[in-house]
Amino acid sequence: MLLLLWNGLCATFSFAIFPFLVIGVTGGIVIGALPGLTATMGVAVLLPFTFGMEATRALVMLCGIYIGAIYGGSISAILLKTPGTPAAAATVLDGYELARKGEAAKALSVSAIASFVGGMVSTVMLITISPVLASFALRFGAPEYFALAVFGLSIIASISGKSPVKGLLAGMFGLLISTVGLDPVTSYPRFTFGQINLYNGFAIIPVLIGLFALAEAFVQMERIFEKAQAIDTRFKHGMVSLKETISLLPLMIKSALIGTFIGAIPGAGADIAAFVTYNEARRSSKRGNEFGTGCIEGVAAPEAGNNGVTGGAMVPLLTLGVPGDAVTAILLGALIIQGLQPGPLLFTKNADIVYGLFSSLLVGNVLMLLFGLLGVRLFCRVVELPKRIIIPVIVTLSIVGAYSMNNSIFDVWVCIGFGIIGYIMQKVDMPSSPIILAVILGPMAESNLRRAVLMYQGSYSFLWTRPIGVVFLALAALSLYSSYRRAHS
Amino acid sequence: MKKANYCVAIVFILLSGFVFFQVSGFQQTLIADDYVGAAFFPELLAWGTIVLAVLLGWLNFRNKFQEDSRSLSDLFPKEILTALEGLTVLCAYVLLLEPLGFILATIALNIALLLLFRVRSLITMAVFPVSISVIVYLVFCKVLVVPLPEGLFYF
Amino acid sequence: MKKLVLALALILAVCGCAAFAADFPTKNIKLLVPFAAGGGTDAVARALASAAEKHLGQPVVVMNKAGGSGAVGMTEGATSKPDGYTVTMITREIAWLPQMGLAQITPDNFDLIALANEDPAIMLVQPDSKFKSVKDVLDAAKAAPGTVKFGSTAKPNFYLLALELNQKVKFSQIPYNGAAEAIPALMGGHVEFSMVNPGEAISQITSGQLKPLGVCSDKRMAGLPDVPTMTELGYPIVTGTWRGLAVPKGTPDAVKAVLGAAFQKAVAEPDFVAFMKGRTLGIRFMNAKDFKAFVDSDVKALTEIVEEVKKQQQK
Repeated sequence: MLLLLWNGLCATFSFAIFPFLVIGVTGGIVIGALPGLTATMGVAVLLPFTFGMEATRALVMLCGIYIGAIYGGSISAILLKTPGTPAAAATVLDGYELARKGEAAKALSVSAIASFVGGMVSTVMLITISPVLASFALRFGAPEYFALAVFGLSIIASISGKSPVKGLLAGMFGLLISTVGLDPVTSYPRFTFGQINLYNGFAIIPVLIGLFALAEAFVQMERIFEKAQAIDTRFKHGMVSLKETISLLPLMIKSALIGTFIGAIPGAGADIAAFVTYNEARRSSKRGNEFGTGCIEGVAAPEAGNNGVTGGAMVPLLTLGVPGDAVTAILLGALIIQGLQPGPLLFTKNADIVYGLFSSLLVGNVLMLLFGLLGVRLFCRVVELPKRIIIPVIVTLSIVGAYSMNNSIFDVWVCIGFGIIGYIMQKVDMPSSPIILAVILGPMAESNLRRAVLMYQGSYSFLWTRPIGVVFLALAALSLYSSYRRAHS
Repeated sequence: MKKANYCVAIVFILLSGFVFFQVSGFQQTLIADDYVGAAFFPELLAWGTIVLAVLLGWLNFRNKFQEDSRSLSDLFPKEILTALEGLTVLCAYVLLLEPLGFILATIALNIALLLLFRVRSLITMAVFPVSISVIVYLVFCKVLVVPLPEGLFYF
Repeated sequence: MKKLVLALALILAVCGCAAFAADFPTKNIKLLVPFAAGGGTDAVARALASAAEKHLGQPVVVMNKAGGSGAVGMTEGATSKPDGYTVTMITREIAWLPQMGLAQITPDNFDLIALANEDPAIMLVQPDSKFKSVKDVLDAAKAAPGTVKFGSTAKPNFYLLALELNQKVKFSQIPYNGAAEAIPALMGGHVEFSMVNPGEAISQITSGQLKPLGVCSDKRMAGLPDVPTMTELGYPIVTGTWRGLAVPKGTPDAVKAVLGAAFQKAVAEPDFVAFMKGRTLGIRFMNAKDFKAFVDSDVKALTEIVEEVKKQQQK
């Protein structure tokens, strides 16, 4: 295996492959940083360009885009409070606060390092124990997914800021939003008012951009003529120190492992992993109360977690031929177009390609770290621009982002609507991230609960007879309990 | 803030009421779901919302929300007019997006926002709106092949 | 100044005339895909678009417009300007969405151009399943109606409904969001069997992780010659999915002829053929007239199924 990996590494650095990896990673970072262009969309759009390419080259480029985009989302999340991809929604919580304190460089460098650690750990896991992970992932049936979603939803209590009641209300609102559209079992159009654009419910991207980016733009507009800026605009150019990095390393590795695990489960992706790792970092941190006010752990954990998904999601793809998330679903198509059959046979029949892929994931993560750290100063310039220039940029990118996901003016209106909702919520001290978490997890919770009840012919016994599910439900209770304790300590 | 909290509680109770009203009209489709059904989840959520909203109102009544003596007019000072104007400009932009096409509409949006923010530099006014519109257009339409609205002149 | 205005006016006039006088197409053609980027329909559309560009002489830009099982995109396609610059990839969903009350448009809102792809449904089980044949599955369902768990890729699932109505059996339908979710559920043993399109499960079939029992077409598939057809096994069920191209009703005949000819050549392009073969997707070309008859008969068949189910529910 080491020999194969060495051969793969040699191939990766060859002239035939390396430029494509560089293009993929840089392109991915740009795509990720632009709101509305997600990793999924980037890979899907560039897929046809790879039809004519040689197999390894095509896969390397697509994987480069994947890891680059998952990292790139954090750049705009930290600097503009606009998560470039849903995976970066959790990074906003502390990343943007750090930027407001003048520590954007620190947040950006930690995000690059954490994404690197996440990507590396998960790639190593992919290389070493993917068959084990894959067979575990297959044990996830509807009851387990339901329990996982409940566990994810319990995180709402921990990201609710000052007033848990308002956070939970926001979560309920998010869950109600997630029920809009065709019912997951019977296809009955719920709360659609005859509007077919609502049949698939509210798309997550416009909601995300509205709640974060537009709402923030409105708040900033209000303050545009204020003479004395409340925010510290003196910019501290310091990146994170080596000492701090080392102290964050255990947290990053733990988050990366959680991310890998979540990525390996088909249907659970980087967005969920980011919130779960954020929650776990907060639960286990000594200064959990400071989360949400600009805590560097609050950037390190979700970023290691969401990039941890990249390797994890490849596990079921390569070993079972089943995609681990939306991006790997497209990669599956790319593999098949290249005449490769993902599954156990791939490792024996096309070992060179598989190990070429592994080694370019390793090298790609190094490149991502390099570009990320080199880019910090450049990215930081954004914060130094006057607000009167930044706001029009944010508004323009928000609208384009909301539109281009589904080429839909309707989505742009949704985005503006949620911009207004987010603005009012800021006014009344209501956190908006619970809505995002609920919109991501609500459909997963509902459809799997209903599937499970159908499977058990109307009985709810799966809630206590399925061991993995019981573990997640227990974790949910633990998560709620620890938020409760923190609120009352 | 106290008044604002009561408003929030009332808005959410009204929302739940609306959900209950809507759910009562749900019908059977071709696919039968005899156990849980389409109405179960929204109803459960509506109940949860009512409970939480009442809790919020009660906690508010008992003054459980610390350090907050801001009145409604503190929360919504007259500066929100700028935000409202921004919103109006934005809505006008979206209406113009398809008839005018992306580039023209976006130039107009950016000029309008700069005027709203009282930017006086003519160079900024001339260069910035055009460059951002063209750059975004090139990145999305030409590099990434993601279509944007075409209007009068196919751009 | 006057000269400048005159010159500009002249340029505009020339451009304008050129645009009207020249043949179709003179600008980008939009191919509207009613499903999200990355799915099966999207993949076929993108491959077809790049194959057709050569024959149309203009870029074909794929535009995804997902939502409501295709209702959103197909409605937009049917109501767009009938000038041939917006071509819609229509899928079998259009034959049943109106009957479910989920779309206001029917195939009659379109002028059909060509059928490009057709895939049969294939019945799959786990390799160590207690079901060794289609007969085992049906016998189990007859012995205990409504208990055999079927992993469904669509809601409603017309593959299953066709089987249920034909054989007068009842399964327990567990709905998933497409094959990407239903296949892992089947592999993990959470459901007992499923029916998907061959392209969606080909890796699992070739690696032996899933076992095909029967294919719902009138003849065996070239890619899977060992799998018997349902008809051979004594269950005359022919069902599957199809994807074709259409333009809004009222598009000029000349434009339709150009599009039809271009797409006919596109489906024969070696790149496209190789792509479809690689993904185990079936190419089936039909011209506008045959496609129309094909769609009409499918609408009729699905309407019968819908009526039958409604009748059963009323009992």
